[in-house]
Amino acid sequence: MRDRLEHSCQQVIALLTRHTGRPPHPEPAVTRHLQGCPSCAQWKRTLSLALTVFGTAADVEVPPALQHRLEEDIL
Amino acid sequence: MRVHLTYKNLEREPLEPLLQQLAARLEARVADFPQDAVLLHGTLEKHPSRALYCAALVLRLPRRTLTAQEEHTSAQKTVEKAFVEIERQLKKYKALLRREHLWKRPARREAIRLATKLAAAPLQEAERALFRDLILANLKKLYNFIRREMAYYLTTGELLPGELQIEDVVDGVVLQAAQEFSQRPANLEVSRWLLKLALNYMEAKIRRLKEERAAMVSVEEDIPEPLDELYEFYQPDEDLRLEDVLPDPLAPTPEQVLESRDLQRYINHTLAQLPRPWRNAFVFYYMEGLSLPEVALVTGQTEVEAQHYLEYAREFLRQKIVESDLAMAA
Repeated sequence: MRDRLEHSCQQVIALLTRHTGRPPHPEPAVTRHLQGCPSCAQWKRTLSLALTVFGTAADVEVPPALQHRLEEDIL
Repeated sequence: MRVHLTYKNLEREPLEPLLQQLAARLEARVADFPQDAVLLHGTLEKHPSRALYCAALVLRLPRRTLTAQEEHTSAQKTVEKAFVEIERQLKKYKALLRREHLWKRPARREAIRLATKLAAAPLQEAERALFRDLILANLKKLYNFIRREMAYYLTTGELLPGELQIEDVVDGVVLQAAQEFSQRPANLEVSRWLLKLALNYMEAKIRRLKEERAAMVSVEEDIPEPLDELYEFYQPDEDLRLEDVLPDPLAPTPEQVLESRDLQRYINHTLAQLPRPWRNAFVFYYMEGLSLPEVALVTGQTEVEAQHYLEYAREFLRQKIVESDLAMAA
């Protein structure tokens, strides 16, 4: 797809792939492309889901015994 | 177990019941080994001119031969002492094969208290207070990083259940941090520096364990597994599908991930399929929240490499989503 959009799908995917995914992509042209291109929008959604699923760190509390022992040992 | 005994200068019959009893006891203790590979060879001898008996036992096991030689003025006592010595050596050898020296950590931890070693660390009094505050402030992050790394190594098979405890690694990293505290890099936050130490500590530890394992003989005997929550979400050879373990694919929250051990297992298994440099870049950037320059500093990659590894990892994981039924929901 290229028609009225400034970037090709290939360029958008390349930009999104390089983009690290934390803040929203700053380039308005990319946002406009995503609004008008369902396949690239789907591509971005699967990437976001992958980052949400695999990038979510589930922390647990430090066992009190370990915390207590370290506090004593380091003192 | 095959048994071959030789008698010199003494009657066999009076000793026969005792020898049968001791051989039967020994046989039960070598039941873990292939029976046709175990041979007990013994020589029982009376001194030609004195009331002195000598018993020499040789127990051949796969890759190890144990020997015992005892003397006594009583034939029965001589035989008993030789068997006791062989059994003592056998017990020690089996413990070595079971790697008890590694998995009996709680006892070892007590014996080598971190405090003793920290006392020798080159920390000034003022520095020690700062060090303590920094360690305690970053302990949860460090603990969870180590926990995830151990789960990763268990998943890849580079670490065996029971070989290492999270607490031992935390101790090791804290000790190393104390020793290197005054030389810590100025361009890296302490929280990141601790992760770097933990990463390197784990890699070195796994390397050592692999070397030890390679030098070790294996017997068909189960290693007892500790009751550790880490191992509850480690299940080898499982075939998990994302769509089966993620209840709400569009909104997985940390709480949801925390609550779902199946999801944690799935994430572990999938991330373990990434080449190590890709996984390191992904874990430090997304899970630990490091910037790209920090990822490079902690992993030893260049920023360009880290950027590329992140791209590869993202595309691999995106493909995993595409392959799952969840792609339709996304």
